[in-house]
Amino acid sequence: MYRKKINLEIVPIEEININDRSFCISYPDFNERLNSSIKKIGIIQPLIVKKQYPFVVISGFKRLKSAINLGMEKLPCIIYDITDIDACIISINENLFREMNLVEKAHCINMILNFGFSMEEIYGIMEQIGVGRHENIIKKMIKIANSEKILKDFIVERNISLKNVDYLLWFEPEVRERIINLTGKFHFTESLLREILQMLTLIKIKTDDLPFEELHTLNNPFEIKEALKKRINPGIKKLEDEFKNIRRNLKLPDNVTIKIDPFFEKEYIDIMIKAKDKSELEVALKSLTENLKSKGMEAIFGITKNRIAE
Amino acid sequence: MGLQKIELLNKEGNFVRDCPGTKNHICCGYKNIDLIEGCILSCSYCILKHYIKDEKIKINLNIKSIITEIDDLIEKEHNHILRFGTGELSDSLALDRRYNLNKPLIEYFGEKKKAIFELKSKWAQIEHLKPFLNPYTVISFSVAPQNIIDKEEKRTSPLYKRLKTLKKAQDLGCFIGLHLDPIIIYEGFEHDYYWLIEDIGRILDLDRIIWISLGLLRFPAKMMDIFIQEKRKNLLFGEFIKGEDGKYRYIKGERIRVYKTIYDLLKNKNENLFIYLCMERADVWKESFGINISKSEDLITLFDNRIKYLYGGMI
Repeated sequence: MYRKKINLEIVPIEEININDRSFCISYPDFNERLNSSIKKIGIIQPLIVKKQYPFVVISGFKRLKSAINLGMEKLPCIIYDITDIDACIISINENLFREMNLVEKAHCINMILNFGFSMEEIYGIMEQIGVGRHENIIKKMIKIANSEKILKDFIVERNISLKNVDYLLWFEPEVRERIINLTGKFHFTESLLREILQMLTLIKIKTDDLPFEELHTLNNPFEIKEALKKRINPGIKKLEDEFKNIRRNLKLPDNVTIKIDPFFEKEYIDIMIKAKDKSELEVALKSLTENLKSKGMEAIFGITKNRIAE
Repeated sequence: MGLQKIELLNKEGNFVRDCPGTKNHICCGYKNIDLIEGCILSCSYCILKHYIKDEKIKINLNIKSIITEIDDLIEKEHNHILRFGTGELSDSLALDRRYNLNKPLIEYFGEKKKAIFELKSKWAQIEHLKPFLNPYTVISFSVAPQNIIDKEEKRTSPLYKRLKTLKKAQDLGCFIGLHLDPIIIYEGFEHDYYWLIEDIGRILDLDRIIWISLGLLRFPAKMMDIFIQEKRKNLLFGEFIKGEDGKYRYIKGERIRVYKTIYDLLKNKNENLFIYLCMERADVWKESFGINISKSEDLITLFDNRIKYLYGGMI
């Protein structure tokens, strides 16, 4: 098929349509190291272009960007006289040898949809690039492919999972940008980011507003999480404060720990005593026995029923 | 939403199973008959979508086999009066006029006179069952304020139709059940539930309500994402925690407050109403109703007593 119609030529850059990105998968399309290498020794591997006038790049967008950046006038190109579908297949296969990031996978799926591949072919390619075969995934990928630069950069730089991207896509672009600006200041684990994004969506649904001003004053992701939790779970926060308060007033020795279910759901509490000899155990038991007479111990059991003393 | 495909099956055995219950929660010991799997109604909070992966609705036509299984369970049970229902994996009435599945079961329970068969539904259509109904079949409807039915229970019958149909069932000699489940905490829900209970008191014969269940909204963790994607403001309004079973439910203090409020409203209408909590913890029972229930067996005994009280020597 297309392999029979190949030419290797040195093509003037003005004969290449530098704005046509129909077959572009790469993101970002500029690589500093590649740029330095091209600057030093030029383009070793020719670009692949589709035979039409002006030529359309199928593979080599990063090289093209560097060439423009470096003011090169001519580029080595392999010219294929092929259909758009074949050009897509070449573009995908040229990228298969490396690990594509999520945005590139999204570009890939968006491209094959635009060129009218059948669903079976689309699912086959999704499998090849390591994306689950599901209609919902396709929808999400289209959204990513057509999203704004700030989101794409955030996804690539932070290696954000599809689940978390899904949360980000839930917001309007201007709100999304504010969230990226906020979270971009810190390093997050995927699960912490997920918790924060989920809480932000919930607050948005409940109040139609997000407390950016307050959040921007905070110093780390854990403070952000706590501030959001206070808004999402005011009841739990109150119970936590009450529990800390009671625990403090009980004046138990350091080797006695009282643990309570973090959601204040279980009916019981756990009391742990750490003792390395009989006397330490005696001190702990004596303190517990004395505290049994206090109202504080009763209040702790009240907390398991979510009762807060007025 | 497209039309759902229906698959008719003729399987043998394993259609009746105990309600799975939840660890450290009180369960009423209900027996589920898996007559239909899947539902044509479209409730936004429905957890069936999560549990049943198959988009087809499966109907088992082998009623004979189901009855054999039920009969075996009834004959083996010597301590309790068994309660069976088809409303766990589907709506008991939504497809019934078309497939006539309940008729032989209603007739069986009517002849057996040893157990209760409950039809649990949001589809107010019992005309086709009129000639066969008997006191051993309980017609039950899930009820919610019309505001919630409009927004969260698409394709179901409106509240007034459900209540009118329940009254009709009472007039035909059946006991009826009410399930205020899920109770949803949203802005102004107290007001709406107040009027819902007013309507219940105005339309129904409260002495012939066999049981009323209360259950606040709870759902598997995966559904949180669905509610968020669908921007279900009503469903996400309250304060949620993740329970021991991994399901989201309202914070315990809120559950106690809401159960207590609704319990008091209902009891003010009729002191003799039998009200129970679906899948709740012992301390929530105690704090909301003032009743000591430490294990599921205690609740099952309350059900036995309730049935004996209403049926006398007829069961």
